[in-house]
Amino acid sequence: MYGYHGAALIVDLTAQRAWREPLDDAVLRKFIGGTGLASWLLYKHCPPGADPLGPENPLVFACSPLVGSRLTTSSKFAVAAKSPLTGMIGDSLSSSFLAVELKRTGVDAVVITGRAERPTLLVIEDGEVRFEDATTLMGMSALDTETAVRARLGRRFRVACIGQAGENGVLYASIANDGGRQAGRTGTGAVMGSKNLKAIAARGRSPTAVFDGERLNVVGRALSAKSLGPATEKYRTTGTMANIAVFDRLGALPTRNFQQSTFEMTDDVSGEALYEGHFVKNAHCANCTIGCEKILSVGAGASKSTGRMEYESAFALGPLVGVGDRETIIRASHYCDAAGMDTISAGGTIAWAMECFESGLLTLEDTDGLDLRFGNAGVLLPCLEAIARRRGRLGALLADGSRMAASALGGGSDAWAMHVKGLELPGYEPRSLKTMALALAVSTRGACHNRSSAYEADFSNAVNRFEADVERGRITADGEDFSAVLDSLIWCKFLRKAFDDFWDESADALNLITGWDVSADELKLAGERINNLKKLFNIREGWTHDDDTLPARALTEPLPDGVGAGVGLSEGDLSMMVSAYYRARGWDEDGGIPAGKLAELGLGGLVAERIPV
Amino acid sequence: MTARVSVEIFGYARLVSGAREVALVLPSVAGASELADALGRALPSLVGVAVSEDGGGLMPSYTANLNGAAFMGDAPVSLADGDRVFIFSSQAGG
Repeated sequence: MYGYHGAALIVDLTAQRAWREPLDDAVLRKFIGGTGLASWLLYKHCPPGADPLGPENPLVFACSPLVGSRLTTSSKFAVAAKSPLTGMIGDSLSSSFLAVELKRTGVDAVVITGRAERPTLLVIEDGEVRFEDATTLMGMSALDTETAVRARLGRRFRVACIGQAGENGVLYASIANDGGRQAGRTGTGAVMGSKNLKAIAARGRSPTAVFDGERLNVVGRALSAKSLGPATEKYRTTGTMANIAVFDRLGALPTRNFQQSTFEMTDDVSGEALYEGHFVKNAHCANCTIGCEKILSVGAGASKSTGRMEYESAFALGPLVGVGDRETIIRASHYCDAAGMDTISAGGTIAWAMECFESGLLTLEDTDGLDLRFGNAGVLLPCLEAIARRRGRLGALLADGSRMAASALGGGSDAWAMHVKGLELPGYEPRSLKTMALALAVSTRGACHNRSSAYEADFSNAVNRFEADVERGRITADGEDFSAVLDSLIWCKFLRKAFDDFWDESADALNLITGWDVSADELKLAGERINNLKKLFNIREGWTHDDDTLPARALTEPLPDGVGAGVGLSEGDLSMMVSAYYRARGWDEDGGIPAGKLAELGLGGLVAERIPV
Repeated sequence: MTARVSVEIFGYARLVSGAREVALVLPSVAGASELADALGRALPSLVGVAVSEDGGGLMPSYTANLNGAAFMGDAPVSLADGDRVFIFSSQAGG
């Protein structure tokens, strides 16, 4: 077998044992790897109706056929579990040396079930598995945990781990690897914590064979050259944080819990200002030629903080909470990475709390004395620390995310909880980005900007971004299928514009690695299949048509400011776009998947039973 | 007929040129090529960064947006005094 090992490692933490489960060619060709393979393994191993924080919820790590090929940006892996934040499919990607090392242990994926009796470090070394005591690691940040594990086992080991947030069951806890990279969204870190699993360490010596290495090298060199061209300039220079000022001017920068679409302190917190004031260096994932990561630093001596910064973190811990102080934003982002916490959901949940505080629904007694007004930079770090440790009334409330917090608080505060399916919205204002509005509403993992790239249409002349229409259904479905293949092979999203023909070049690379004869059309079908599989999982877990919607604010309040002032999004317009999306997918009018569509996609063997919620 | 427009520059182009904004006089009906030509002459450091070497258009890595609404392409659009053009990366999202 080329490109794959043809096996998954199944780990039962309760029984402290592990075994290999074969993955046959047909499954691998259908679901490719990454998010596709992880979703299939999750569907197979997760009992319907499983408690997301129960031992039965599997935590899946899946590599891809490209991992180990040295193709640029290919050192990536996917994590999947039933999300404790949404109750639906949770999947996330991360990258770098862990992906390479995990695959070299001799498997394509790892499925972790059960719950260990004591804090555990799972060591996967070649084909062997050990369960080591992790008691001394508990309470450590993700960064310190990784350092400690590598000091214990050796620097050849690569580590995935949780910080304090995952230990304490913060429902949007992330899984960190390779010096602070994060599988960030949907709370897979909370699932890991619920299993008493503090860290996973991998080391392997079993590379997969490549079918035609000589030709793959030619393809790889050409792709690397293109990766250094204009298609990636932003990522190589200012990075994604350059979005802040642009989105502000386009009326697309969510501010103060989506009450505004522009931020009056944008000049202070723009990507350009962050870069000019704090840039230290670029950083790369393993085998990446782009180097998108911007390492920023603030302070000096003992108070110095150095780490990554991306647009989503800067938006969520800046304009979204009304904070215009660069140093606070940088420190808050670095803290979230250290504690192992999704910056988007953290910022979104704090923004909800700030609106509750300003309206009087939360008092100083509820906030443990924190003056939780929008823009009060001084409370941001204490609030994040309270969340990561579930400390006090405020920490316990906000650690469950905005949807559950609003449910607990009541008083109509659910109107201000800016989430879809329980996942907080990213930094894209849906009222001024109508394609994105649809994609956020229908995404299987909740309000997600990464599973469709639907914003690309809005930032072009392909559509009028201020108006809704039925064409958005096809655009969104196509974008999701494209992203599913991108996330399964796995290529980095920042490489996507470097391809002359994404489908042909991807099929070519896959065939050179595996020896298959996959066509561009077969890859497109795989993308559609993977998205339908994710939807099947959600249907099984209780999804209904009503879940494909947006927060009340987006559907009832026109934008008050910016170039989109006065623009809104009616329920009728969203419903029209959702229906168009269902039609584009070949689903029924309620969003269910007809048996014929399942058969067409080769998913006929999977039964879409609805589990009562 | 001409139009006085303000061009705001974002991202790497801003860092390279040191300019946040520049005033340009463009034909009242103009496309991206006229914009790029005028921008390259006003801010020569942007040639090879945001403006193509021959000055005939924007680099593929940049795009131009008029007043936060439509994007400017090769097809000419009507411009008026006071219009604002935003020059930023064509790589959306992140």
